[in-house]
Amino acid sequence: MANTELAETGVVQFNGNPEQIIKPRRIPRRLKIYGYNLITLGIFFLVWYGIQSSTTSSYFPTIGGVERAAIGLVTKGDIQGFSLVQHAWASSVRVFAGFGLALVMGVTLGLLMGLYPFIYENSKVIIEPIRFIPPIAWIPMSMILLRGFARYVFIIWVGAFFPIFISVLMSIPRVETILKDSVKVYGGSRWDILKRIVIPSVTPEILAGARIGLGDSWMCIVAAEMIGGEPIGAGRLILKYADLLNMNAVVVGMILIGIIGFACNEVVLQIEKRLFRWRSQITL
Amino acid sequence: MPVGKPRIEIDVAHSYDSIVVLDHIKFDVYENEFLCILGPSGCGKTTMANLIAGLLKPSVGTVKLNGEIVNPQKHNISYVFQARSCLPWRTVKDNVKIALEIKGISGPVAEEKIANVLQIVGLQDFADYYPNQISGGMKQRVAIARAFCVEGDLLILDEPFGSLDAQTRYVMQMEVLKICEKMKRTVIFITNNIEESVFLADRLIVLSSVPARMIKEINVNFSKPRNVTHPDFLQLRTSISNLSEIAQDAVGGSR
Repeated sequence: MANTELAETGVVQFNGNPEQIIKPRRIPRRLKIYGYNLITLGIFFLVWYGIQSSTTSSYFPTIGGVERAAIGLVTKGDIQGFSLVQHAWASSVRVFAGFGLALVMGVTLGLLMGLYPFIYENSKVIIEPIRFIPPIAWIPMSMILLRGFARYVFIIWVGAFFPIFISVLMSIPRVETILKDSVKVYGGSRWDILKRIVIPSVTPEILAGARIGLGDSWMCIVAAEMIGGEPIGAGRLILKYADLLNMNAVVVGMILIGIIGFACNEVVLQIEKRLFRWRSQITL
Repeated sequence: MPVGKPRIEIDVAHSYDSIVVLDHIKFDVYENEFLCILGPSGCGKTTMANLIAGLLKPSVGTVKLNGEIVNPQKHNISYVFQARSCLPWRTVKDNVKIALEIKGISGPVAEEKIANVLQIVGLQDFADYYPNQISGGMKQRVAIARAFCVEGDLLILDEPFGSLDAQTRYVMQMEVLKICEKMKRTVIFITNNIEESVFLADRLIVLSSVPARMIKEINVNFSKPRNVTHPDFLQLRTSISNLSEIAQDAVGGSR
């Protein structure tokens, strides 16, 4: 294109085929990620196989042994006749009860203390130390104080409550003053500010806290089922077979918890993605 | 010369902790007047805007609107903030709507107002975009649209065009003049741009650097819209930039 033409019209014309500039990717990014993860999984099994062939311990879980144990647990059930699905379901119910309670309380108390910092400031002496007591340390106390289902819920609640509570609490001072002012200046009340600015601002933080809390709930399931007393649940499955020194079945229980936790996390991530489309970084 | 009863009476001093930001500042604003407050950057102009809007209580003195102490819950104040005040979780349209929601205006009346102001600021095709999908200048126009859709006692603009490119800035200045002409608004326009202030103002108040004092009050009597190359315009502009304090600021290079 001649320079004179550019000077005269002030318009740059592109005569080529636009597809020549923006080449579509041959393999979608998502598929690529799946592919690489499959390779990672392959490497994992290779390492596992390497260890199992070189170890002298007869208890060490083997790939074939875990596979057989898994099939057996699904089809015939465990030594007491409970199938893997029943274990998974029982644990899921407990986790969601404890997590649900932690979510409701964490969000409510986090909002309350974030909006009225003096409550938190003046009760810090109790809140902060409790936060650092691990769920397992609560086992003896809950055995004395609680019965049945409440024991599971309590231990899981201890694990999930604080991540949610703290993330909500800490997010409130970070709400931008200018956004609050832009409601205030038009005559907005405290309630308007809470409803229209504070809550929408902290919702992403609430969900991020919830995701961490949900992960922590699954991490507490074995501790909770240690004292639950019922013979069913993924954690109980692990404990049962640990007593029998059957490591293959123990690993099946471990994988079960890992997979359910992973699935839960993915679900929340998808919800976040849908809900917070406004956060996606597309700029003109 | 301004005539009639003052609509806004400002008589304040303000300090944060022990730092005095505004020394004694006292002036009135009259009905339908376009008042510009011109000051070097960092002189406390935004503090002053917040005081006038009633978002901040002055350490000493009062701001009165229609004879009463200013109160956003009682008075209809529109405010275009200097920083970005778009709510990232609302679309352009809903960002404009929030002011009307709070004022309790909804339904077709609100829809019509919003469509109208979006047209004025040139965002009618971006009504359903989220703030992170539009440019910085467009975000500022959203804030301007929000302020314009509330009919009020007072319109405050705090360096509203600072982030706009020169061309858009000129277009927006013309729009502000047109809207104020048409809607009969009382306007306080805060800026650090001498040319902008001379272009827009009926009356001009020049502030010193911090702690801010009023160093000059100028009535600008040229008819609008003004020709920025007219000798009178240039002369006034030069005389303001020669004011010792402003010149000092320019040499000091705070920008």
